[in-house]
Amino acid sequence: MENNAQILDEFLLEAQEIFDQLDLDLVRLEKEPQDQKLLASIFRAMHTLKGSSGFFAFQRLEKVAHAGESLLTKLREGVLQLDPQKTDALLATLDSLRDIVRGIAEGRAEPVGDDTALLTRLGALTEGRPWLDAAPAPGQEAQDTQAAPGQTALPAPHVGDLQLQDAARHTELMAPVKISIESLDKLMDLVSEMVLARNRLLSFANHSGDANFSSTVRTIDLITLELQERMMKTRMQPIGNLWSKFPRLVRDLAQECGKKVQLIQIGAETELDRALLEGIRDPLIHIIRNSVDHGIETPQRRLELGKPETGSITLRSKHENGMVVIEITDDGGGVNLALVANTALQKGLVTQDRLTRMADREIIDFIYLPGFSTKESITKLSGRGVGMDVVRTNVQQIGGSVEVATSALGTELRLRIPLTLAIMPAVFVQCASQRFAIPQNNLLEMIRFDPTDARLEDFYGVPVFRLRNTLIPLVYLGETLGLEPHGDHADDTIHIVVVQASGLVFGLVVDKVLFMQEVVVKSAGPLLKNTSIYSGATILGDGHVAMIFDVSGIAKRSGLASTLRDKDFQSELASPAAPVQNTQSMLLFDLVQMPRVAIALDYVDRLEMFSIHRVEQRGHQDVIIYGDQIMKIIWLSDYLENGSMRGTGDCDTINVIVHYHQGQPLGLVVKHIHDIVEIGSEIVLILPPQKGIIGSSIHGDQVVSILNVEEILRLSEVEHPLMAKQADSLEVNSGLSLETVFA
Amino acid sequence: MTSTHSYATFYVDDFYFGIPSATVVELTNATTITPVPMAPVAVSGLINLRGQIVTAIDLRRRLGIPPQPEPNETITVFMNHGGIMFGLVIDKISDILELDPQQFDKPPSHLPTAAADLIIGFHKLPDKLMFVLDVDKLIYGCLG
Repeated sequence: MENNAQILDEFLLEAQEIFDQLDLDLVRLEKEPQDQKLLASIFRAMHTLKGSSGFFAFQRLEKVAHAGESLLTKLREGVLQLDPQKTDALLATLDSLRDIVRGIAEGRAEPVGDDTALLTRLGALTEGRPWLDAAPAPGQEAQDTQAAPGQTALPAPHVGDLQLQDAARHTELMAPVKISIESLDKLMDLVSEMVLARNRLLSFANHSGDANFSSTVRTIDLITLELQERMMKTRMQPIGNLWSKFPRLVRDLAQECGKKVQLIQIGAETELDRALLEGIRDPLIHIIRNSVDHGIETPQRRLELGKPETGSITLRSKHENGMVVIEITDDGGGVNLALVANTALQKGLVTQDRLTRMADREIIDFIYLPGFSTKESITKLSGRGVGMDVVRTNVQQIGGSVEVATSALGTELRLRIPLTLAIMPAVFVQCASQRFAIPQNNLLEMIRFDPTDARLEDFYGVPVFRLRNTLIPLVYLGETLGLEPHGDHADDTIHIVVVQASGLVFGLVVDKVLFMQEVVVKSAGPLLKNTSIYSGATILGDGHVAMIFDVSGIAKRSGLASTLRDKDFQSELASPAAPVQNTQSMLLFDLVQMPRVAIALDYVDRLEMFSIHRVEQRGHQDVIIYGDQIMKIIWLSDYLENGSMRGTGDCDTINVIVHYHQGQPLGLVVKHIHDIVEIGSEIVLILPPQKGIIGSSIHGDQVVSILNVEEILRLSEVEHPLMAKQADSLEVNSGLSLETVFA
Repeated sequence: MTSTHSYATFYVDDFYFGIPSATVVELTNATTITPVPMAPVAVSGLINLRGQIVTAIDLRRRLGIPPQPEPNETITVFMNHGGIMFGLVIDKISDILELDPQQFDKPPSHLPTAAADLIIGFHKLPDKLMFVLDVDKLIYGCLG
């Protein structure tokens, strides 16, 4: 309803403009009756008016405009020549139209009135007959048409009252002023500059002890803030302006697909920057197409499913945390995850193995990949495979994001769009002593990475680090920008800014994270248009220029984007890692028949090498005198290799990993000690479970078994390893075993 | 006077160049140029000219002339080309000259290639030649 009122207001304004122009044009035409261009323009104006009247079903208006148009047609075709009589009639028509519109503006409905005289007059002139009656005075006609519904009961107003009312009405209609987009943009630029100058001033005020100065600055700060907000508001347009085209779109699409679909719009009054409005047009159209074509089922199918025959698509928009959220919900069949998974498999985007471990959320993400379409047949509407990737790219280009939720009951897409593009928060980083800005909407988190805490790993040639359960590939900014030579950075403490763009999460390695600030985005000029790693430039508080990154451009530039696309990497990165600890430093060692076993470094207190002759027996426990303590010796082979090999080989020295357990040293005997390595947090459990081993992990390209130290310790306390094996004759067996080794 | 051509003239290395003086807005020295990594080679960076971001083109790089052995201050000629401001980084500014178009000649053939493309012709002055730069090519040729 509110929407209709708005449309009516727009019509009234438009009509007002047309009248003003017609006034001028008709007078001009009288002087230059041969001016065809002018005549054509008058004709068009009258025609527009007639069309709009028809739309609102304003019959009087339409009839009068039509009659005027008919006369103008004859004039335009050259059948009739303009003479003062006709000009008068046209001007009278104009006055009459103006009065009707005035009545509409007041009563929100077409006023009652009789236009027969005017219509007859126009009709006669159009047929080429002269009109003999004197034209009625415009004022008189105005009074005739004053018979608006709300006014009929009132006595005829005095002329003075009329004028007063006229004035009031006029101000009502005159209120909006048309401003060219250019001057609005220029104003916005100036306000943006003002914001920057304010920032500079604020930093002064912070350092000055002058209270008066500070409070003045504070006032300027508040005024600037309001100025900025109001300025931004002037660029805002209700999203309904865009949505108004969609009912027709849905109707046509539904008809083409043989479906019944209704479109519900909620929050059409939500405003956003007109540039952004333009930016979301195509994505929205695409999403709606998808919903009608893929989402909503055929009426028959819907009835079978117990859904209402007519499907609905709901557009809902609202402001949320300084962003505009647009939700597009349909009550269709949802995204067919099995089909998506299957298509992904067929296209070789994923392995069966990986697929079985993927969550629904991750499977949905496939629809964002370029060229991905599950539609078996390409319809006119959708299914060409340029779909969600374009939607996502477009939305991300204007700093927004897309989320999908789907079930058999429908699909919901959620777009989050910033309110404006001109000013945005950004984090400044330093790289090779230059400053750059990273848009905050690309920013996930900032990390100081100390290589003594964890190590960088290498994944298909891309350096990666572990952030909780996810592998994050790294891009060395200095290298990508060509500011620093490629080199080995493994040992430096680095600052990582974790960013996301185009569905890719990666870490930008920078020298320093400087500060966060609102920046005014400016064009970097025509010569940098092809340099895709920048989205623009901005001027800092100190007057220097800083470049603003286009994060997805950096991913492309660094080669990361293509590397990740080639590999199973991306799904690897996104895979829900088993709920395990973070990357761990581990000591890698061999047993006789079991190479590459790793023990968490936490358990390794010292590494020792002993002569085998130092091993003594206390009861059935092997020990070594270690300093002034007695160290219990645990032959790991006994637990992991069933004691078949005690693993010293021909040597008469043993390698021992010393671990202090409750203050007492324990010696774990291994065959060979390799090195300390970083073992990933994704540990694969072995089935059936193997005694003393937590599971396996991959290091480099080899499988590593992870030692379950706690289990070994527990076992070594309660029982002798071989007792558990052959419980029938404990003493004998253990004795035997020991003797065989020492024989 | 109306029939003369007015040029703002300057030096880059030993070359004496001119551009139509009407396009020149102002010139400054000691401007801070923010370098832009990965930009076209001849683009030496961006300049903040009273809140406006201006692309600076290094004429030495653009013309394939090696950098100054001992660079003194940076001199930038700001010019308006098609409604967009550009800064030309030069070695030394010279005069505004009013010259007779009759004395304008097509470019000589013995210029270095990089420069030859960018010159529409020259004026023979009593003591030297003044080369007239093709501003549009100078700017948009940076994109390669």
